[in-house]
Amino acid sequence: MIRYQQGDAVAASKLAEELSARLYRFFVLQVRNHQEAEDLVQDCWLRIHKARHTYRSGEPLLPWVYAIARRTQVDRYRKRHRIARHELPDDGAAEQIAAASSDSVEKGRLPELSELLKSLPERQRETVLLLKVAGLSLEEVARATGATVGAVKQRAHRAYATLRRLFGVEE
Amino acid sequence: MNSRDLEQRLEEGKALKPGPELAERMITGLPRECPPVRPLPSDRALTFLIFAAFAVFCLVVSAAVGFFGFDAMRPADRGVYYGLIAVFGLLFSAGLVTGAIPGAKVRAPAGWLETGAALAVTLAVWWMFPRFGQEQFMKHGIPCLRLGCICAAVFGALGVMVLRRAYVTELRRTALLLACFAGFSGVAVLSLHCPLLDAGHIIVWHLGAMAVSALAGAVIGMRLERGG
Repeated sequence: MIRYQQGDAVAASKLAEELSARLYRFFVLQVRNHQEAEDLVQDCWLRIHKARHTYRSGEPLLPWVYAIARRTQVDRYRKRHRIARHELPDDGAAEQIAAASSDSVEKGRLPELSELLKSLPERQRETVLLLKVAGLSLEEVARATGATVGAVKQRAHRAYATLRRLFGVEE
Repeated sequence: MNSRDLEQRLEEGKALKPGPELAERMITGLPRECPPVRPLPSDRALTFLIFAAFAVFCLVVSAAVGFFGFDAMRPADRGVYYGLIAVFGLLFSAGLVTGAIPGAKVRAPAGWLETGAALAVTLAVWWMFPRFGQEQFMKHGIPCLRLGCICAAVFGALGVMVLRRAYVTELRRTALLLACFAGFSGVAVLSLHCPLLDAGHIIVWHLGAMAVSALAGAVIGMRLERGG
């Protein structure tokens, strides 16, 4: 990242390779659409490029990346719903978009995991994703989500309780 | 399903991979030039820079309108009141840095700093100054509120210029924080300028500027979030 900031194009390519899989997993498990996830990864990478001066050496990189990823997804979601409100008839447009998205979800693993996560509120879902799939620590998740460590612990606890309850997990 | 199954299902997410061309598209999607950039200073340096700007702003504005409040206060009261303003000025500066840098460490839940500043000033003036003994409450209060709001607007605009150099990820929260900080600059200016050392006057009219600014910040933050 430091070399990327210094204008090293090779470092930029290497960083893109390392981040692409991580970002893809983060997005695809939330939007449940491969094409959209890849678009989000590209959008996020552009934002990372523009905001690269805000990363300081010595600070953890992944929380910085995921904080930008979260912002990318929120902006995309709001833009889609703004377009749906203004351009389509108000007779289930949002549901049409959601249905079109879920139609293209790959069968097999993705629906099972994304089905698990779909039932969670947004904040809890992203906390579980960052902890379990991205493998971040509590401190890193707190930084990425703009919350305190205590709030992250609480969200994770509630998310696991919800998942256990919904899927009849035996203790 | 048992707990282990649940954990295993969650772990399966790690195996998901994008198509091989995604990384290639990411790289080719960038602008051709990748000029070097100078990273922003450390959190500590940024905090002190913002605090220094806050202090200079308050002193310059007060110099223009007069230090009547400073002159009217007893030395002990000056120590308490301006010490409090300095402490919260520093905390607000640190909070703004957190809002401006993606992935920065959050030290307190949202809203605590803003509420804490208002409460601290309320308690301090309640303890130090006479309460609600002032005549012509509205007539003397409106000019203070106006000056406080003008300070908040100018400081807020300067804050926006600073934030545009960074990358804000939590729009609503940062907008509210900046607005409260801007309102607090109005409180600080009024503490230096206004000679009416009455608790009721300060709580209603000086802190009123902070409340008005906070409300504006909340509305702006919500609209920014909706606008994306």
